[in-house]
Parts: sequence; structure tokens; C-alpha cells
Amino acid sequence: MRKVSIGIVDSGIGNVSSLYSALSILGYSVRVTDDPSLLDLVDIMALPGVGAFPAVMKIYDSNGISDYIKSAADKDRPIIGICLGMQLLTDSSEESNSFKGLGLIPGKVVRISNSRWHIGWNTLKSSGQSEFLKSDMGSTVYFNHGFQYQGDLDYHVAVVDYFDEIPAIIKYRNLIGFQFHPEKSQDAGRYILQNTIEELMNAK
Amino acid sequence: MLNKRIIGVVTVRGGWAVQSFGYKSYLPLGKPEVLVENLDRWGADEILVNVIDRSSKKLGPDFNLIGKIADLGVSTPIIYGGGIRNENDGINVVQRGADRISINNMLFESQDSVCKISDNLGSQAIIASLPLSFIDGQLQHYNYITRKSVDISSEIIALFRTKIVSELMISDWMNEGSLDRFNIDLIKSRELIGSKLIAFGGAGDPRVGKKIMEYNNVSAVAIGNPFSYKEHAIQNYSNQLNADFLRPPYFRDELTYDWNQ
Repeated sequence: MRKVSIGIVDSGIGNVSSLYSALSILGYSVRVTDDPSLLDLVDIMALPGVGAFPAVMKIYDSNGISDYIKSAADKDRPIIGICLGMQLLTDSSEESNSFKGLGLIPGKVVRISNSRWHIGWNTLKSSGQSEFLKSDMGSTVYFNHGFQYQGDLDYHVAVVDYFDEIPAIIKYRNLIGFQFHPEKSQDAGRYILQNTIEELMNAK
Repeated sequence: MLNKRIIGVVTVRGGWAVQSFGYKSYLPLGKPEVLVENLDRWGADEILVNVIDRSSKKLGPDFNLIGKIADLGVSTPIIYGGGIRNENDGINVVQRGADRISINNMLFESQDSVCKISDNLGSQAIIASLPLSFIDGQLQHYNYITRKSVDISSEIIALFRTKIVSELMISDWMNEGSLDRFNIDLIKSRELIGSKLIAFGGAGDPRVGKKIMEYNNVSAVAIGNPFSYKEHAIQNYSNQLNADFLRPPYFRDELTYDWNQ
């Protein structure tokens, strides 16, 4: 059987090796590239985390990757965004005055209220709006961020408690965003990655 | 609820993992990547790989080691410290296998570089590592290269207050290697007010760990030597803490699930 292929979109900033290793261990064919002709060949694209919003958007905008991702999303190609990668899929971020987001998931990214950062392990709760990844609710996963998604509750799949509720998984069409790092959330995260990829492939 | 963390520390010197005592004597343990693999399997909340001789020898980051750890497919967040000289080093360390970085020497030698790394990776990815002690009642920073303690300048304190780094790892360097001698007064230092702290050095006894983690400004304890040679050391530590601010102990048995079945 053909392996599912995943293209990690490389900006030169981000924990691409961590994501590459996690996806490879799960048995997927993985490549790290910013070359559209290679990204055309993969089943699913993944935008990695760890980075600052303006630094990565500047690179995406300057090398044409922004336009490529937008065009792929228009064709309903599945895209997974992790942490910063999820935030880049939205319209804008309070982390950047100079660069807009990709504008693919309606909503914006705002500073976490009541605390400067949300760093560590927290437990996923269903938002009650979605059946997606239902079996993974209750998993404890690793977060490391200072900004959070703010958008329509219809797009919330899971939230975590931290002063208020923080959206942890969002879904809009074939676009999935994780505010946490599934690639660094031990077995719980690997199940989530595997279930997400299976569901995205089944929906194709 | 956000859980407090137990961080496993692997100290590396001359390419080998070592037990470290008071920043001055060392006992070899073996290959660092083997210890990292154990800590991953035993459920550390984060793993700090701290290569202590890269800055003093001006060698830059140990990319060879980072690559080996990445190849293991470790599923626990990796913090790397050692030899990071500038923004390119910081970005490359994360690209090649770390998820956060720890900086020490750069805080004092090039604050501009700290800001540039923060601009690229985000402050959430940066931990400032500070060996501290009280000398004549005054909080002092220990420079491990010159082996001298000096006052913490107002510039450094201002750097923390601007939130260029997300957490401070305060090492009780004098008591590093002991099981239970971490100086709790370090946590209460007025210079550190407003910062989230990771406590390291002399917190290997779970009773001490619990006492430290009960402070609101402490987000994690970091443990080195006691986690280096005992199977299930982290689960045992976590069980003995028996605190609701920790996630339940985690254990992975590689035999229970074949990801490629």
C-alpha cells in the first residue's frame, strides 16, 4: 500500500526535525521543503511550530510560499498547522503589525490574557461543537505559546483551561490547527497526529 | 489546568554525559543520547541537554549531538543549551532537533543577540540559565567560565522584565549534585520578581521538589543526577510528590504499540 506523504513547509525557522522524526516514526513518507513542485506531490502539508509570527510570514511572503499555500487551500488540499503554523493560517496576529496571516481560517491571533505564556502540559476538552478527534479528548499534551486563536466557536474542536479557555484544536474545511505540539506530546500526541492524518485522508 | 513540570537534565562535558557536583567535579555516565532516550521513555515533561564546555571552548552548539537526538525520534520536548553564540546558532539548534533553547553566556556577552533570537523564535522558546548564590546576603551570578561570582546588573534584570525570555532557570550551583540542599531563598529574590522560574540544583529529593513547586512563581523543577541511573526515576519522583499540580506519571513500553502496524 502506498504510504501517505506529508510535506513539511520549510521557512528556515521552526522545529522541523522534531516534526519530521515524529511523522517518520508513524510510518509516513515525509519531506521538508519550500519547493512548490515537491509540495505538489504530497498528500498533506504541515506548517511547523516554534518561531515568531512576523519572522516566518516575512519569509513565506518573500519566497512565494504564502501564495502557494493559499492556492492549495482553495483546492481543498489538507493542511495541518502546528502552534505558530496554526496561527499563520488565520487572518492576523497581535504579534505582528507588519505582516498579515494567510487568511485561510477566519479569525485572528491575540495575546493570551492573564498570563504572558502558556508553557507545559494541559488536558484537552471537547468544545462540544465537533466530532473530530473525539477519542483524543482527555489527552494531556504539550503547549508552548504566548498567543492564542480567537475566532468563531464553530471552528473550535478542543480547548484547554488556563484562566479562561484557550482553543487547542481548530478545524475549518480541510485545515487543522493545533495550538500544542503533537510531535512533542509523547504517545498522546502521536495518536492525535495519526488520527488527524487518517481522518484527513478519509475525507479526500 | 496547566501542570507544573519535571525536567530531566543531561549534563554533557567532553562529549560524555556526566554527573556534575557544584560546577566543579564530574563523573562520567555514558552516551548522552542514551540518557535522553531513557528520560523520554520515563515521561519527563521536558529534557534539558546542557553541554557545559561548548562556550568556554568557543566550539558553538553541538550539532552532532542534536542530530543524534533528533534521529532517535524523541517524543518529549528538548531544550538545548551550550555554545549558542548568535541568532543563527539559535535558529539552527531548533531546526535540527531542539524545541527550545537555554542561554547563559550570551545574556552577558551579547544581549542584542538574545533579542534577535527572540525576534525569530519567539520568547516562549528561550530560557535564561542563571547559576546563582547568595554571597554576603547579596544575590550573585556565577560566571562558570571565569569561575567568579558577580552582581546581577540592572541591565540583565531589565532584560527579564521586558520578557525577551520566557523562563529563568535558576541553578543553585553551590548545591548542585546534592539531593536536598536547594536554597529556597533563591526563589524569593526580589531581583527575580515577575519571572517564571525553573529550579535546579539540589532538588532531587521529592520533598524538596514539592516545597519548591508550591511557590506560584515556579513553573518547573529540573533534576540531573538522581534521574541518570535509576529505572523509572521520574515516575517514582512524581509519585512521591503526589501533587495535583503535576500530570499523572507517564510510562511508555515500546512493546505495547507498533506505530507502523
